[in-house]
Amino acid sequence: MKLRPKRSKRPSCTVRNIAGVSLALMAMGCSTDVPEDLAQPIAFSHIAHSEDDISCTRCHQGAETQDQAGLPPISSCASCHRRGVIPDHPEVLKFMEKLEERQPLIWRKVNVLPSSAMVHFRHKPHARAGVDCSTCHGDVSQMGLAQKEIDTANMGWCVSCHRENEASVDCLTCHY
Amino acid sequence: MRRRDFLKASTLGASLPLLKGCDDLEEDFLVQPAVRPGVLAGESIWHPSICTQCPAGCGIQVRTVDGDAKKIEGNPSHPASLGGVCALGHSALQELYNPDRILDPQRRTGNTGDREFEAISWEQALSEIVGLIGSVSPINMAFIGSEPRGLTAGLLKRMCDSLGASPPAFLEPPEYGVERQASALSLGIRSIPYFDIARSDYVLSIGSPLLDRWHNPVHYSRAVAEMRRGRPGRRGKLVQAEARMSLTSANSDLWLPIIPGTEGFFARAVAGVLLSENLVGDAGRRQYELLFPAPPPTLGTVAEQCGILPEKIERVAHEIAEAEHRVVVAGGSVAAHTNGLFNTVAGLGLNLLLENLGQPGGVFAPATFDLAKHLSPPESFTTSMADLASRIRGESGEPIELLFVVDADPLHELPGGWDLASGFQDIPNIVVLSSFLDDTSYHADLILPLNTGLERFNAVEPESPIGIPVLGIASAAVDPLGSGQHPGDVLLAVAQSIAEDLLEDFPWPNFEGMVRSLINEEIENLPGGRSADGSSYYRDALARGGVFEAGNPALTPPGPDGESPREEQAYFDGEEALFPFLLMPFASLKIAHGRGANRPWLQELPDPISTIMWNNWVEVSPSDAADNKLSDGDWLRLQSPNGSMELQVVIDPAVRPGTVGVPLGSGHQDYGRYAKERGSNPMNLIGNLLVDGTSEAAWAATRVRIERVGPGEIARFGKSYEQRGEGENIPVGWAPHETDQEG
Repeated sequence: MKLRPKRSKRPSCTVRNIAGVSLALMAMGCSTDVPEDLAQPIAFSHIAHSEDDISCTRCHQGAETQDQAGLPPISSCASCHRRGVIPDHPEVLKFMEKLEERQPLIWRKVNVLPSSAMVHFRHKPHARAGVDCSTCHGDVSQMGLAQKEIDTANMGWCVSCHRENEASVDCLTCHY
Repeated sequence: MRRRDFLKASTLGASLPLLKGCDDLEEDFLVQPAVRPGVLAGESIWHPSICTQCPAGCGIQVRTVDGDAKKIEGNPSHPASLGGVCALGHSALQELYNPDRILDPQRRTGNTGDREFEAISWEQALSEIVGLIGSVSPINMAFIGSEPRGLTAGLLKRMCDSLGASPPAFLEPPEYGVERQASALSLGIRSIPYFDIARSDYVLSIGSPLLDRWHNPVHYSRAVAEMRRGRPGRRGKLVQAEARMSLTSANSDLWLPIIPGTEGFFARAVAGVLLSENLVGDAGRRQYELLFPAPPPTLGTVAEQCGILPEKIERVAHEIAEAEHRVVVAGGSVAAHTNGLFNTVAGLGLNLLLENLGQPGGVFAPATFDLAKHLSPPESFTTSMADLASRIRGESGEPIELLFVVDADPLHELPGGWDLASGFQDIPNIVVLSSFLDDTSYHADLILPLNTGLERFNAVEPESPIGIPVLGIASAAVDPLGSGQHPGDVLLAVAQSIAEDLLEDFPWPNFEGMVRSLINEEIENLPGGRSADGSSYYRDALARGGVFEAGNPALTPPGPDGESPREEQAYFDGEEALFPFLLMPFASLKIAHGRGANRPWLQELPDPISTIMWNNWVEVSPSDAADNKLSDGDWLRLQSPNGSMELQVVIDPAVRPGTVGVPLGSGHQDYGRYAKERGSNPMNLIGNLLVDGTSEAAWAATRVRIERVGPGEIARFGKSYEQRGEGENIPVGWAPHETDQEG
């Protein structure tokens, strides 16, 4: 998922987020030359959560209402895990430690739309049109860490779906 | 943790070298924060704010995404606007993001008027101002503000008082001053009354552009809608007596296209019918006779004078007498003739006769919290613009060596006949507080930038009353672009920099601190404030967008306070033989008196009546167009005794023959790329006549002659009068000369 490039004169939220990322990476002892194979910060299991009937939008709250699906703050995760849901699991301890230090978790995106494509992908209209999450993300409920199953950066894939569902294929619908 | 604090914390420590080469970070990574930062990236947040585009002070909400303002809507909690917002209010985004904004203090480097400035720091600017104030005697200083009421005006008056300078003059539409004076005479209140249109059954509006740009177009538009459709089974009626077909005339049930300058006589004729046919009670009759001891003129004489059939006048009198709730509204251009005070008093005086004072659907005194009384006495003296103009020209009073202009553009908005521009050339030091290089600020020696309404903490008690007290309070919706400040903060900073002994008069750290202090002082008298905790009360007010009283208006005006001025005929600048047309300037619904001219949205927006875009125009009746061989779009030269200008013709069957209408607000000498030299400013045609008995400009008292210059095409959304074929639907505005939409 892609944060919007900003064009305003003043430092944008995105730029500040980049600063936050840099700060976090520095705190992690990483240089900003991020290695391609950097692992995800914890071994999150989607399948374990879906088996507990936790829906996608419970954590990715923006998927139906915002441009971006988003991630919940670690404190939201802690609200369950602190109350007795496998509180001693090593992966849980990892993010509880981050929460204690008020440090963020830095996740590598799985589905990336390159900024050079100038695509403004918006979750909300897709959710409103009834497009299931799995259409683009694959069956994440059966995955541990999210994996890339579909090449969403392929415009032909997007366009064919738009055509099938009689959605607009005007360039300016996505490229602006 | 507040969102802003989180973002600051995120940014802190991230040095630029660290960011080098990280362009792809946002593309590749997602941040999962430890705790909720307040908002998700991309989430819409609506901030309550206050519209600063006109004195109405409507409550608005600003939609921000990632800290940037994206959209403005009305604040439903705010009683002045009740969720509405006008086109000018919507366009505040284009004031915020305007590419021609002044972002830092500027010092003139070239000659006056050369538009050559250099950016300086606030420290340098304040130091220069302190030096100037120290070197100029207070009697040689002059101050101009924008709105005469409210907290910023209170600060300005306090500053003048502390310095020992003469009181400030305030630039507002001149008819407002006449309306206040008329209200004092006829109703006994020294401010503009509130007309309870929403609860009325019959509204007789004598020239008041209720639905155009008058005191609060959003509030009164809603009130007219409520009057007509808000009460099932009970539809109110709007009658508009006005020379030109404004948006109000076009939406009225009965339009009376009255001869300009005769509106007061029309009102007296209505009174004559009510009195002679015993349609009013004794109490109303007694009150009215205090204002007008002489009997009204005869119906036949007045009807001929006004150009309205006597039957129509009788019908209006009968209908208004029969209505259970009725109100007479008077103001706008009727107050801008030389006999404007009489016109307005005669109109408002009908409310006495009909016993409408303090009645549901009638007329009320404005209610206010009046926090500004702690800054300067409510009735403190101000200088009239006419007197100050005379000083600027060097014709009277002490010469001006330092002129301080706060958020006002007098060189654009005042009549050209006042000749302020040449007077400005002789003033050695001019300091202007402005967000833009407008017609006034480009004469400045020093410009102090103001932030825009969305970037500032603000507290506004609307100048245009709505019958119940309203104090809008809002924090900044977005971070400021540039170093501009709220005018109140600039005044405080200047006052506190001048001398230590002034600190006693201006003890507050900033404008917000001042407002908090005044609220704490008044909290017992504010709604819900008794025994409330100051901090939580203030926090709740910010979240809501202000402090509002609930309920219906309740303050009854005391009644007449003197006799009406003499029933004089209007007279005009220019001999009728040489200048046969009467010029009727009118405030543009889109760009007002010029403030909105630098917004492409508003320039592009078609005028609701003529559908013209981007420029102003001159409205001519078909018969006058035929006599002068004019076609729609032709270039026309308008010549008055004070100057000339060229505009394009719009042939309009709803214009009274012998009059020409021109919208105000265009023809800026500067004011940025979208406004500079676009259209012409009809105020340059206006001379120096004043409304009799007042110090206000009579801007509807000028005659002009017209001369065709050549052909042209005009940008409009709809068809012209000539293009409209027989049988085609006539849209609102292209109506016969006199409408009766009931009929």
